[in-house]
Amino acid sequence: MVSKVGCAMVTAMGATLLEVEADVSGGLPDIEMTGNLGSSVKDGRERIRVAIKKCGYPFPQGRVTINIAPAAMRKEGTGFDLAVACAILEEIGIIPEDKLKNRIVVGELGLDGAVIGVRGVLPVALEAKKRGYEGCVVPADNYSEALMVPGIEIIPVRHLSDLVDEQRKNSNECSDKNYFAQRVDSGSDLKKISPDYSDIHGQDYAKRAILTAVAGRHNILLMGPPGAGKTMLVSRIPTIMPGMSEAEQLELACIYSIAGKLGDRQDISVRPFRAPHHSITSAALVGGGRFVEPGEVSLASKGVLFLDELTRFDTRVIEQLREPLETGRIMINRVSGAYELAADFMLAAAMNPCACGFYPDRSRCRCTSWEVNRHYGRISRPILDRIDISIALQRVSFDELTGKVDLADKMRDAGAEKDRSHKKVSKKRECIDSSLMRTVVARVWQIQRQRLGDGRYNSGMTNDEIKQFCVLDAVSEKLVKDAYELYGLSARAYYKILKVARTLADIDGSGRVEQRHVLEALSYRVKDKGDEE
Amino acid sequence: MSRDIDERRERYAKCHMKEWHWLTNLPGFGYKKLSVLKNVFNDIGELYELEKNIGYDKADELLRHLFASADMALGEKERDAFFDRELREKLNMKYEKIMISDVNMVSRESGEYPERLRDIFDAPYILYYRGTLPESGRKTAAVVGARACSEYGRSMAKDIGKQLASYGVQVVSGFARGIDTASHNGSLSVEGGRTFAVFGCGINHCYPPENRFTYDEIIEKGGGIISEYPPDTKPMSGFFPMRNRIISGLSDIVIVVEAGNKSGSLITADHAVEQGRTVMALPGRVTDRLSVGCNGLIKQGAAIVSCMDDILFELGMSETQKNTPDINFSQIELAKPGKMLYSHLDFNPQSIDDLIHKSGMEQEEVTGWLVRLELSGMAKRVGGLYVRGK
Repeated sequence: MVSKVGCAMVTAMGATLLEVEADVSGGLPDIEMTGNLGSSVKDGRERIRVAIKKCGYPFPQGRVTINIAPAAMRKEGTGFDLAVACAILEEIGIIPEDKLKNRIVVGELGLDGAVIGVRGVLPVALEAKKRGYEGCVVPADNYSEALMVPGIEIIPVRHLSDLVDEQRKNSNECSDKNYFAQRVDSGSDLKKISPDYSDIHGQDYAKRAILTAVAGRHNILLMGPPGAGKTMLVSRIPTIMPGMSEAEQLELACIYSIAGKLGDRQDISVRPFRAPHHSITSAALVGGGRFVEPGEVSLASKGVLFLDELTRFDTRVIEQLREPLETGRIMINRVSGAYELAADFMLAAAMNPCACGFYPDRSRCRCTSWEVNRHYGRISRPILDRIDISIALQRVSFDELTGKVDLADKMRDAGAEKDRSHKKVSKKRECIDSSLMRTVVARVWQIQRQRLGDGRYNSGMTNDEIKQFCVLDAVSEKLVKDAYELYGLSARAYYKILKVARTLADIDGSGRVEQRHVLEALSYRVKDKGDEE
Repeated sequence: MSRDIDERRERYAKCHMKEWHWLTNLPGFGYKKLSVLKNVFNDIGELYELEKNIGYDKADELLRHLFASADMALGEKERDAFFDRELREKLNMKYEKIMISDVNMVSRESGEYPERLRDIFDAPYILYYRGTLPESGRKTAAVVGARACSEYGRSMAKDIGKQLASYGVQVVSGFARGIDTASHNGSLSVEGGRTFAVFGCGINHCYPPENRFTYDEIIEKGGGIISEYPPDTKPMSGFFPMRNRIISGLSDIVIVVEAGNKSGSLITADHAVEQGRTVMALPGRVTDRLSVGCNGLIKQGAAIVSCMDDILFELGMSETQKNTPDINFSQIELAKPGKMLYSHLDFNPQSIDDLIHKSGMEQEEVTGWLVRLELSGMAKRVGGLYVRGK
């Protein structure tokens, strides 16, 4: 008789359910493993043998043959150990046959029989549910992530003997903490997250630009000298993004589970903020490797990918972003197969305007214009074309830094005759803390959802949609025409301006795109040829 | 075509071009050694045929004697080079190559040699050029300055170049990045603006390379590219200060637009003073690094550039010195907030936040008006910050 136990392999795309078959027959004591196995699967053989012995069960004295079906598929990973051990124990009658029937078993074994957590348990549980399995046996380490899938029994195990000895299992009870409950708790006190835009004094223009970028999910580029606050501004973007729906959270958690990084994210409801170092390789950025794994672009899905010091990145690595920036997906083609992963992120990039960082402040910058141009040249036009909003920062003044500006404004207000404009100034200063900005973003996202459909934003409008939703009056049309000619804009840049103008109108709550929106959109324009001599 | 070359060869032969080309290209023979030879041999042809005429031993002795009496040692290498027949053949081949190319030559013996340049004490013996040479009868001004210039310097250099060209003044500069290029471009922006670039390398090398369009345009518009080095000489840092004496030598006045503490433009100014040219400097803010050179020149007695008439006066083209600086904007009618914002712009790049703060206007208004000003050319965006456009 051959015993069979369900198991699963995890690839970058998700989980595939497989079956382990074990047979014990007469002959010299030996274990044979077949089924097109990678070395990481095959070397489980010794772990399994020792673990079974150490748990006090007799290892079958005879020829043990293990097959993982279907054999056509190449298998990699360590999650098969537990399933193979179970199949052997079932074959020799230690585990009752019906106990693991209709269940998927995943987990790695230690020599002492301890069950070690593996990657991708969440997609395994999802796939198992989809295929109508009753339950999943998972390592206790992965218990909480597996619980995110409703409607399927999850059996956590700490030790191989937990599966055999019910008594032992009960004494070793896993904490039945519900992952979703935990998330709801932490989601409600989002305010506890310490960074907030109110920490940053001054830079109101930059905050406005970031608000616009997040509201329309536009990619943004910040340029400025060192110490201007680029990193501070960008790292606070997640605090103004509204939360995710449960379906989005599950999709994102799957990617993290596959990458083995779910533990990194303490709170699954907060949108990801990935800031890879500029020494990153292209495989780490877009995904890849011999055994294909999701890269930073996928890990930043639904959130922000922040590339600090954009010009220091390898140019070839940056060029890889062309496709995901356009489509929100990344295609990884390898001999082992094609993997299409989500890469639906908002790009935020920061850079210095030149090598020394102070251009165009000629009292400090001594770079020649050739050097400045070469510095910009590290980022290709196609990448710049995919960035909708670009702003230049200056260091804030001391008064602004120390928050004394408000006081100065008030003093000016008291003595000033033209109080109309000053009232506006003090009004403007309110728009600086994260919760206020988040309310605006949530409202604008709602508008976009109604207009374009679920999960779509102004930045992703097609040309037809732009023609439909970004109708300009004659004066604005003329403005855009002038700008198009003066700056030598590309067609893509032209549509970009319309998209940003649409977002600005949405922030205003205006149904039509008005002239002031177009003007502001033009001021966020990415550096163009005409800017430098 | 071949007739043209024959005609040219004849013309060049009259002023001993081949001989000058040979002599100026001899390794080890610098300006001093050449002047020793020049003093003795009035006819360069005689020097060229020295060995043929009086034999090697006598010629050798003569040379030794000549240099010894001038307190100069003539090394083995130089003497070998002088008598090296192979080298002479090689140089003559090069000369023939230039002859069939579009590169022109003038020696000090030619009539086309610029009169102003002939007057200076270390005038180059030979000049290679494409296009034309500056006309001796027309007023000529040199506009020079820093390579890493500020936006203010760039726009002033461009403006000065443009205004000079519109008055029919020939503009000479050094084709370097920054101020030099801006002054060339300013001059080229006027119909019939003739401008001359003096290279520190051979004129077959466009250096800096990004100026190649300017290079072509200078020739198209009737100006010229000039160098004392053979056309294929590569750019070497040591050559560039030397060409500064030609820039000032070709001009009636030298205008320094922006210069740091140890700028090459100050070398040009020094040459100008030695050559008896008027030096003018554009004043800058005391606190700016790039003002140090210009303000220093003014302190030493250079004429100050406060308006276009100052320059015209020094050129002898204007009777009086007007005291009102040129105002060349105000043709464009602006609404009040635009005017107000424009008044806050200067040649120092400012961020939008600064401008919001200074003007007290709302952010939306500021960004809107900046774009409007930009579209009308009155503001300019540099590295994301804003400066005055006009």
